[in-house]
Amino acid sequence: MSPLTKILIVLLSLFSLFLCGTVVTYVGTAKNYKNAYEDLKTELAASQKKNVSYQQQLEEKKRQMDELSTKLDAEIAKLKVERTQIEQNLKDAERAKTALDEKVQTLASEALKFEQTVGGMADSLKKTREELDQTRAETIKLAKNLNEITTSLEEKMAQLQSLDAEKKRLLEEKTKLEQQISGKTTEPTVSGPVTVVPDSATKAIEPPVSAVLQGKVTAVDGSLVTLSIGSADGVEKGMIFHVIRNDSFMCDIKITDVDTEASAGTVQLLQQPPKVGDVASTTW
Amino acid sequence: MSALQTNGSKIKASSNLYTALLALACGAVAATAGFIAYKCWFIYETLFQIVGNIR
Repeated sequence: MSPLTKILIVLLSLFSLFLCGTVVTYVGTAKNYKNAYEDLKTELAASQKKNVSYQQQLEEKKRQMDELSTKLDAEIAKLKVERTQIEQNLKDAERAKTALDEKVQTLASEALKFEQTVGGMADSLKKTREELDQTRAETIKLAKNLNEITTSLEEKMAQLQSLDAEKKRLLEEKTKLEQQISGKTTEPTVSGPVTVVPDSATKAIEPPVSAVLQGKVTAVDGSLVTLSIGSADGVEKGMIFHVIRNDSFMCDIKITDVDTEASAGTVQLLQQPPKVGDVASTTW
Repeated sequence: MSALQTNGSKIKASSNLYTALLALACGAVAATAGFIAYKCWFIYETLFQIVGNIR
């Protein structure tokens, strides 16, 4: 064998060993793309399945969401309608409130006016009562005057009657004297007067003595009043005393019981209830 | 004299070292081929075809 052949054989061996080593190394360390592909394929299938299931879930959720959105839309529409109704009610309530406020204001002004008129009427009532009291006092005065005038009239009537009787008696005496004068023969007969002069006339002839009696109220018991003057001062049953306080008429007291130094009577023409210390007088 | 001595029908190698080297080289190549074939067959299920787009 020639040396060249030997060299070539050696080189061939070496290169072939080298080449085989690299090839084996390369093939051994190469990535198994088929397994990788298979894995990816299975992953893809699983992912696709997942995707399908997710899409189904998504569609289900979309459907639910659509249903919910339709429900919510319906509720929103309802609530909008309710809101418009409530707004309408609110406007109506506000209008009613303004109207009521105006009514309240008018009623307040009317109440104020009414209060003023009531105050005026109260004042007029007070004045009317005062006038009534004055009128009553005047009425009492007039009644008292009337009573006095009536008593004086009666006295005058009695006086007149007595004077008439006196006149008749005098006429009879005159006729008798004329008869005596004309007759001269007949003896005057003493005869009493035909008419009898009543004793009350003599008393009536005398001018009436009106005694001004004045006393004070010592006790008040309902309608029974006690005075500080009695029969010793000239008080008699049936007398009427006028109770006065601060120049204003209180009431009348008609004497029913008389004691020596005190007397009692009942209240009449009551204007105001009498009190202890009030002045009671038979005149004004 | 040639390296190969023919004696009738038998052929004898004159140098065993270079034979051994050649045998080694051939063995390595064969082993490599076998290994590649094994890999190609069991992984790609093909031997003499180019692995295409497997769908």
